[in-house]
Amino acid sequence: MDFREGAAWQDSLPCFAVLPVNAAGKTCGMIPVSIQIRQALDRLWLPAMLLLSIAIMLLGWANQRVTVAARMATADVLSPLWSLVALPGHEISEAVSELHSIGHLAHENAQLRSENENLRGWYDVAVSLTQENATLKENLHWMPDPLPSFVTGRVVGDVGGLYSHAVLINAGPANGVRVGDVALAADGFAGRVTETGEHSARILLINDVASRIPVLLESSHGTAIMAGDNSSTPRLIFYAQDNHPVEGERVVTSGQADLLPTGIPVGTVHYIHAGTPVVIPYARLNHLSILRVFNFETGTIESPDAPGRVPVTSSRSVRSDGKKDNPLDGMTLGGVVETATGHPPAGYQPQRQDTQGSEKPESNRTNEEHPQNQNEDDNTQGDHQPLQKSGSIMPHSSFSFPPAGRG
Amino acid sequence: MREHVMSSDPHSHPQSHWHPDVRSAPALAQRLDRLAMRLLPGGLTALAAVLLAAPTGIPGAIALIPGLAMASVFFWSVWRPASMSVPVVFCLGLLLDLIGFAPLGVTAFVFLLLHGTAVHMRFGLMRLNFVTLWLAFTLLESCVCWLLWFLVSALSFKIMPTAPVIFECMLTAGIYPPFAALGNWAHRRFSNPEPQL
Repeated sequence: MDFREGAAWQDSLPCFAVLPVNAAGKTCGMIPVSIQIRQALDRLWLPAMLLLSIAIMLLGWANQRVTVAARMATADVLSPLWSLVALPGHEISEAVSELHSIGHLAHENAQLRSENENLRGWYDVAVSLTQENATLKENLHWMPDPLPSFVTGRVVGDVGGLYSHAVLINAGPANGVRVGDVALAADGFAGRVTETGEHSARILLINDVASRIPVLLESSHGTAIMAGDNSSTPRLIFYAQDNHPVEGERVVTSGQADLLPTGIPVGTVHYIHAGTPVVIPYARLNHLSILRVFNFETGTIESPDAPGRVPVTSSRSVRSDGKKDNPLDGMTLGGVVETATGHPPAGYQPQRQDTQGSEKPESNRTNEEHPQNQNEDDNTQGDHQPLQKSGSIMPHSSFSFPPAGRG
Repeated sequence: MREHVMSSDPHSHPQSHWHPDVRSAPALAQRLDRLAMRLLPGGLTALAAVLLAAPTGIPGAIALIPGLAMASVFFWSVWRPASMSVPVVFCLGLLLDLIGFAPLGVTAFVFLLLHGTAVHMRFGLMRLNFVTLWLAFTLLESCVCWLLWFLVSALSFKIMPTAPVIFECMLTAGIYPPFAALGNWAHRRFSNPEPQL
């Protein structure tokens, strides 16, 4: 006890101010250590911390769940602060845009008036088409689409970093946001929920490198994958080589991956070079402020256990046409190989036709055609002929938004 | 002046004639002051990183965060390592990883390397004039950016685009002069918590 008091009495200097006088031993906090040990410990800090960071790197890589939990906990803590910081920014930008618009009031008024006249015409078209659609659906005993529930959240953080594009919204599982939900900006598809915290959710935007979205091209009726590449315009890849995307055509989501509903508007096709089509998204991905997160529950609809379904293991037989062009035949899971190579096994086709009827409402989420689409249809009537003949599902099905909260 | 304390005082030692509280009070304040001085640069950098991550509408605000942090780590490591100690650098890197959704620990690792290099070459760097020091920083931060790119690519099994790395290198080099001007002012204004050997 005397020693402790004596030391405190002797020097009120902090413990790191080591003078040669008391090199033999002094107290630092509670533990008396010599200057040599102290210097050695000081030198150990850096390697120890480096090792610790490597350990964290490996642990975070091996156990993603802990990493995600840590990140979302941080985001939960920081999101109220971020929304506080962002609020004056929003107000300022709104005030600035208001000031800007004052200058063009007369011009804007004239523009709005002409647009209004135009839209009134479209309104009549929309009303009549809606009624026609409703009648047709009633006649067809159309299965009503499940109404998606949605949550609207404000973007409170740009959590992308250098190599990814993501935003944080101030709505989480407490508000009904789940991992895999679809986030829409006012004008189009923005991204998907990848992680959720308590009161916040991270949304991976469609232009992130990790984003791959199956899309449908409306005019050319082709399918493609929209792959983000960290630029503002995601690329289109894996489109059919005999059916290239057409400049300016609309891109909507296709329900193929069973993750997204069909027909959410994404953007338009644009060729930056010959042979490299990109999508110009409708959503302004750099200036997202409010996002609606939809829960479509697409995962809940599973194909029924049809009695005619061919089990994967039992079809290790010769095909109906007798040909054996696949060298892997007979030595692998036949069904898997045949499905992958596009040759349906015997007995597969009729069953598919049977189930087509029940799949229809799921893959086609038509509610109401936008007048705009109708216009496009009129322009591309030639494309419709084969479709209507074969009676297949029209890819023009448009996703109908619930009214947006923001223009 | 020693004080004779009442034996009823619960804080004093029964046999001691010395009142510890009287003496340790200024020492405690001093320690707190020094602790604040030690944590101030790191804390301000962390605050700036958190604020820049908010959607303020500043273009390139996200790219600014690692640049600002690197300039801060380098500047304080060279001029005042006591204010930018190893744990502070580590925590700063980890915070950036958590905010930026980079693989956890990567930024902490490269920042520690930057700090270690800067501290190691400290006395050589302090003798340089500003432009040479700036060039040295540009070289170091470019290495750090590319190492970060390599680590992120390796940990995600995917070659990340290189354009952001080049942008980041240039942005960080551009941030340094204004940051150094601000840092120099703070360096002169606030007392040094470093051991005076």
